[in-house]
Amino acid sequence: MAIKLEISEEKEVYRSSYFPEYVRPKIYDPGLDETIKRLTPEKIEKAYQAVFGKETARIKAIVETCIHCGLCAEACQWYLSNDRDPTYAPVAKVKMTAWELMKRKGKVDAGLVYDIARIVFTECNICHRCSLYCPFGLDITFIIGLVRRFCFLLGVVPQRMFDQNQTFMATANQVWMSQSDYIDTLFWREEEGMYELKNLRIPMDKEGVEVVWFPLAAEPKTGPYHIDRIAKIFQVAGVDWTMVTMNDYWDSSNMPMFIRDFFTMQRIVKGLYENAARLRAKKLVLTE
Amino acid sequence: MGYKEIPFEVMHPGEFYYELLVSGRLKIDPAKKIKEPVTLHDPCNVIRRAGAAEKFRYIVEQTCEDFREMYPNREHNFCCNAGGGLSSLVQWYSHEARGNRVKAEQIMATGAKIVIVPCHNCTTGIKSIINYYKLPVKTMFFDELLVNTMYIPEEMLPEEG
Amino acid sequence: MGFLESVALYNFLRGPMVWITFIIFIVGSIYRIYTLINLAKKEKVVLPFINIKAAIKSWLHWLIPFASRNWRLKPYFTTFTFLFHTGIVFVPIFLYAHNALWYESWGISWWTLSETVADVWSIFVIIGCLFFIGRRIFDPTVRFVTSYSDFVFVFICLFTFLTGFLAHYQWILPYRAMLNLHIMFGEIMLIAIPLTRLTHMYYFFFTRAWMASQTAIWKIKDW
Repeated sequence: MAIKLEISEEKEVYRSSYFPEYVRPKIYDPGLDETIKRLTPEKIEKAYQAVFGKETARIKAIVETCIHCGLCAEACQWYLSNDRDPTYAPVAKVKMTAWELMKRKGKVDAGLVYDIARIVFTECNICHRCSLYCPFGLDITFIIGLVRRFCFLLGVVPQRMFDQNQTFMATANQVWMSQSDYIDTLFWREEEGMYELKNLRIPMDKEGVEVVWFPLAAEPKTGPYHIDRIAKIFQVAGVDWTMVTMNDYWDSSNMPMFIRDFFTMQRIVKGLYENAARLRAKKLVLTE
Repeated sequence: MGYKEIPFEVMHPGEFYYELLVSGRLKIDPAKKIKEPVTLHDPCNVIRRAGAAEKFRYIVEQTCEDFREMYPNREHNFCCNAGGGLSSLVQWYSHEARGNRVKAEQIMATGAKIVIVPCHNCTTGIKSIINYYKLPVKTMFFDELLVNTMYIPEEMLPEEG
Repeated sequence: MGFLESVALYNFLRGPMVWITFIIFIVGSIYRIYTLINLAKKEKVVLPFINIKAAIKSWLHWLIPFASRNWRLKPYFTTFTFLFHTGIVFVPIFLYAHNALWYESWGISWWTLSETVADVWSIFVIIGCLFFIGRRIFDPTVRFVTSYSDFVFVFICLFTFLTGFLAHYQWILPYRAMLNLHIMFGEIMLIAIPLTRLTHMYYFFFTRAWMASQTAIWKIKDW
């Protein structure tokens, strides 16, 4: 965590041309600032039609039930942390994104798309807390997810998120780790762990086991100690377990979900599912 | 919500560790228990969307002597602010940390020295809060917690030298 | 002032307008509920996951004051909103004067509220309306998301109850004029229920059921 926080501590202020209340520090992100230059009104409208064009029960119920009471605001940590700034309230986020799009029927310019992308990608964690506080139980995060999908179709996504998605497309894990690197790491951790626990084993692709453990890709890459810790716990408890190395589908994180790239998302889930089914596992333990 | 019937259980390690502890397959060494005050962060994905809150509390109570709850807790916890893909956005780290002052206040209110964060994503978020607000706490995973406190049988220990 | 007091307006509001209102209200409500359920059928992920038991629990917890966490966090809001919403539903149904009208028209009547209770409850509804308006004006969070239609909804309710209350005590305007206004606003309110976001009266049960079922799958409580 040697990230220099001062980098982004910029004094410049970004003011939305649509919502005078929406004032934020300026943060440069090529994924947002550069991609909006490519947008045309036709593209935006097409993406809008693809996501919001068809009337569905969930969108209809949410939009027609919300009575703008603002009770969800107290649930959002962004709102509470920023001195109750009205623009951070969940309902305000929905107002500035989905309602604005629906009100204008998708006929908006790139400036609004920037605001929208900034709100849905960097100011909402999809934590579902607001839904527990809404008197109507509206699934606010569902709307945020739809808007994320809209932004993804336009390619207006924070650079790192988009980059990770492409990593997933190419390698099915988030850190560009090849199969051989992965197997190598497992052997190395096995060897290291043996000094602390006798005969430590990290089984690979063992069939008919009790537990299949899928790590997060960052574990073999940046936090390899997790692997031998897990191995030690399982060994001491006498669990019959295995890790998967075949077919590349071993990373249990699913970053494409965050930008609603359904295709890659499905590929990953399906890959993990098939791997586990092939090994006839009873339990699937995903990483912490 | 895609697959309604899955031929195997999908679990978080915390839930699995809970099973191991309850069934007695994994034993905790009372001498090794963590003495420092700890608190537990409830990750949204596992608590709010899988209801594992009580299981996690069981693990923590078994392994730590001084467990302090954050308030609000369980399904009403605050998010770590790294969820929804924010954990990977390096350019936005200070923005992200500023947006989660409540979590920092929550952690400080407990007076704990260790925050147990059973989620990689949340660890990123909590660490960025710790760095930004200079909190005197450290994060810990369940695996670290269990490796440090579990009872290891004699025959499993390696020979000296 | 002459027109408001006229018997012609009164006859129109009491005659054809009542029929139109009730037809729009009943047919519109059924239509709204039916279309929503029909749309939900097309989405494969909605109906198979509805869990009635969880939904009933969730309804109860949110329909009883202070039974859910958010109600407890906002005691003033909860008090006003419950007085307001129960008042707006039950006072018109159980008011003695309204019952007399039913009796006149169709010869049916039922249990009625005593005059004091009805008066106090109406005053609470009016106070609730003022509270909501105040919230929409003075709370920055709510002000930011408020649109004009939100004010219109509250004002419709406010005027309906205010005119009804004033007509009963025959203050400010002559009785006939106030009564005409009262009937007019009441009819506007009933028409508005199926046509505007006031449908949250029905949709509450659907959206709550959906969230309750989802949280039931997640094994947590949503109150």
